[in-house]
Amino acid sequence: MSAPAVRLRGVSTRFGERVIHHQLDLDVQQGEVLALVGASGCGKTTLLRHMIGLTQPAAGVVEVLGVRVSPEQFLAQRGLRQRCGVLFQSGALFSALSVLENVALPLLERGGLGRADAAHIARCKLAQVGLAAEDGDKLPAQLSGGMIKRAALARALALDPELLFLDEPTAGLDPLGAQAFVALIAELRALHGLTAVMVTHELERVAPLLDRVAVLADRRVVAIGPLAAVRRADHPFIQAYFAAHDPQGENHGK
Amino acid sequence: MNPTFAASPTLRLSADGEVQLAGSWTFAGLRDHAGLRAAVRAQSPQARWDVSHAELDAVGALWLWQDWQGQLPAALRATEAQRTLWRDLVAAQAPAPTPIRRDALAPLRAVGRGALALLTQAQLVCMLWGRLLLASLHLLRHPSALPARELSANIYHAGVSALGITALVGLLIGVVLSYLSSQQLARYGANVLIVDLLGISILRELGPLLAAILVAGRSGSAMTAQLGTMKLNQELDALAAMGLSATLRLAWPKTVALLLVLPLLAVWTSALALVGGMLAAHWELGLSFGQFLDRFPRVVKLVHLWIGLGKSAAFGLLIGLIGCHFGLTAPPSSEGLGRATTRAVVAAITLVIVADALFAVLFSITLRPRP
Ligand SMILES: Nc1ncnc2c1ncn2[C@@H]1O[C@H](COP(=O)(O)OP(=O)(O)OP(=O)(O)O)[C@@H](O)[C@H]1O
Ligand SMILES: [Mg+2]
Repeated sequence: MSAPAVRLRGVSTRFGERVIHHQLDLDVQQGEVLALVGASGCGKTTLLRHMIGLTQPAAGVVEVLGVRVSPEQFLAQRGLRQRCGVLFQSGALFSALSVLENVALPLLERGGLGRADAAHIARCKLAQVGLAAEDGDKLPAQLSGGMIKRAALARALALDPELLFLDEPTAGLDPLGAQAFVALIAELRALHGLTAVMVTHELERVAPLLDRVAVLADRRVVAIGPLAAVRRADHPFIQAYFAAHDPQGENHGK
Repeated sequence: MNPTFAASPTLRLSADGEVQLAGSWTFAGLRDHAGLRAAVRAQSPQARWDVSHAELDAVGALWLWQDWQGQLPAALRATEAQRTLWRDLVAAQAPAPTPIRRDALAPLRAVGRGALALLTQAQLVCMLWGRLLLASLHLLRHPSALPARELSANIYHAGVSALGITALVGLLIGVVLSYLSSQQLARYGANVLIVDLLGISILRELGPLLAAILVAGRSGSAMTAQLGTMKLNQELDALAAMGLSATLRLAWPKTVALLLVLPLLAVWTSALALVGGMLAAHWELGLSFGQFLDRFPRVVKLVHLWIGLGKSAAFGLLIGLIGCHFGLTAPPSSEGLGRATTRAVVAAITLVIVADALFAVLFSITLRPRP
């Protein structure tokens, strides 16, 4: 097995007195799609921010694609960041740029592409996430909630990254949009090597994509594995979580 | 059938003349093998191609498509995902550019649009003024709705925390003004007139103007930025949805705070400017503090202080109105908000000076020499 795409060891996070993560370990394998689930406010976004290298844990090691990320080495690790795509929970689109410019920005900043080519690829990405051509000229403030999610996804995918960090990619999408998202990620996996970590509250919607699920509770990863195995894990939070997910007891496991 | 990932891109001609691509035909892969694009162009698009073993991303697919002269080879072996990618790319081609029509009247139109925009702004400020008056009426009838906390917070931020900077600026301007004037007056032996000069010009003009300009820069911009950010985050919508009036809760306390605070700041600035002037007169002309303070109430009429106070209140109102107006109407984008803040400060300072000129004409009668 090749080295993991993301490797967390002994990660601890504190905000003031509050401990969010304590001695947390997690590996994301090359080429897999991993879902990160857990209660609201349990620190999923915070963990994702460590992986992106926006913040550093109080203790522990965060390695991404074999490199120990640190915010201090920002310029030296620029190349690493260009191999990653990030979808923020609230979109984080640049409000002063049009949707098309938002998607084209990373392409232009990476260099090696002309303006026309970057715009061409950006239009293609917008179409792939289900936005109409005329939406490209809109400003983020003129988008609906679901459109913001789609535009942010298009920007995260702009560089065809090896490693994708998605914070609730299907929240706010209609069921058809969520289905199209699943199909798009599957297609990208067939095209080129892709590893994805997605925080989600809608496991059943993205279930066809998932290789593994990691459950965050008690400040650490309490269970990790294929969805079917995780559902059977003997942990009070997991039992309650999945009981709430499908009260009828249907089985969505892979 | 699946491509192998993360290998160097290669182009191979098979024995039966098929062009076979393998490895990473991606941006990262092709960046290190720039010669491959030329190799693709050297092959005919009419040949038989096999890309099904190549790893492809959008950039790689675009470059291949361009090197095939904007079409897919007729005999192409590709995976379903790759064909979908090319379909998406072809569909996303740039629309034909619309020819730009030259408009000879464009500059004229721009002037007209600018003038109309200015009028619209003026109209909107007047409407805000009206809403503030209505809010005041509402408060007269419902005194319990007074946003007292906001008002006192604004008085603190706009007034108390500006004491230091206004004091410093006032003192220095007083010193400079007095020093320069002393040198002129000394030549005519009119030393004591420095008191008249400083008293009138500072109480009436400089104190209020300095305080207003500093407050416009400090508090006017802060108001615009705060209200604009609240608009950007839909906080204004949330307030409205709760039935809370943004005018009453946000604009009214800010404007009224400036209205109350600016006269006080003007007096404070004037006082320190006079202290500075007195010091400089002492050094430069040997005028004792006793002489200065003795002459001051005799030659400087009280009306100058009242005019200074009145003008300051008007300036405060103007700065508050402009700051709130630009904040409430800021476009919902980071850039628009930045522009609105700049405009608010520039407009506030300009309007303060225009108003000052109007007041100067209006109150010129009080400058007539004593009978
Ligand atoms: N900058 C910060 N300062 C202080 N506390 C923070 C900060 N950022 C996050 N927190 C706290 O850390 C905890 C985890 O936050 P996080 O955003 O990671 O939650 P989450 O698991 O992503 O939740 P959700 O599913 O609701 O998005 C929360 O209790 C939050 O209050
Ligand atoms: Mg979150």
